[in-house]
Amino acid sequence: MTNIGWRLVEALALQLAPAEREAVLGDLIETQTSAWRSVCEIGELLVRRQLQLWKSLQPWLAAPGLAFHCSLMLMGFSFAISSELRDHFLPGAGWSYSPAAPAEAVTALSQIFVLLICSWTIGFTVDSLSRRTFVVSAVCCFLPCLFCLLRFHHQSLPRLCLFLFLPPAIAGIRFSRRTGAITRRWAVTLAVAATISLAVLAACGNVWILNWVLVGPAWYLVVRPGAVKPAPEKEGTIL
Amino acid sequence: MMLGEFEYLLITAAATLGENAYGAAMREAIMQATGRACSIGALYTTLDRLEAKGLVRTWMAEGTPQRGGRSRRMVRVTSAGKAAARSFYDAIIRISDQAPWAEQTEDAG
Repeated sequence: MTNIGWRLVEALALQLAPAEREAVLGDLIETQTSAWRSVCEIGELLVRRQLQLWKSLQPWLAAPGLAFHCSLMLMGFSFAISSELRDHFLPGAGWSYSPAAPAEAVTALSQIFVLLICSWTIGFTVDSLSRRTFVVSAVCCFLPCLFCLLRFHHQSLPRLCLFLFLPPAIAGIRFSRRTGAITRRWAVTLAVAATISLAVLAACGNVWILNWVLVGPAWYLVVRPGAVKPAPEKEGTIL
Repeated sequence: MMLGEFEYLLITAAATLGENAYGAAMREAIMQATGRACSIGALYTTLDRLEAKGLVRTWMAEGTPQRGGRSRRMVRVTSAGKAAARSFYDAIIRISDQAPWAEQTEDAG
């Protein structure tokens, strides 16, 4: 095998599980398969492995189901929060500034709660639903972001204001990678907090009916067996 | 449990190779028997499926110098695998009994 060809084969093989990588590369060396043929062989194996994953429901729920739709809705919330902050909380940030009335403060606070909690739980759920197809989920999230970014023309708001939801979503993904589960108490707390915040917004007339989808992942974490770990029992009980 | 054609080929190759059944050797055996290429993708994904069904057992063994020291995925057919292969073989023999090409083979023999 040529050096470049072999490096390409090894780079592709990195996508395989370590044990399978060893067996496959060993087979290719033993049968003296050419570098480009080996690239095709490993490529085919990788495609088959990906296709196998998509036979189950989870990747479909995670990628087009959650990542795509929820990123669109969360961008809407990001924009709404940015507008609220500009108009009522940041004097000098725009020509339309007017001090916030209590109702507007409640609305802004509820929107921030919804954005933080729902972004975090959606990030956590997308990653824990189907980690091996995470790249596709990420693409499904970033495509609408790119679409909106290219079409966003607002003089008094920066384009990045659309992506306020990304930091909490990334935090949720990282938490899922680190711990793999959350306690049931936390899951219930998050779900209730998100639902109450959205209900407050609905009472103010600031919710589109489909926005209720955003609290779905939070409640999914409550009811899904294995997604949460039970809260640790308190030690040192005095008898 | 009815096997697929390629599943049957894999199980038969593994059973025939015995202690020496692993990826490359099985590919070679299948290619010699069928005269068709057997891709690594088809081989390993089908092995996973057979293992999930409990028809074969696989484990990693040490490599050899001709493999650059890389380990081998060894394969052993389980008793359920042998029974499934036997059932497939019997079905093929029964259905082929009156087939014109079966007679031709006998005539040729």
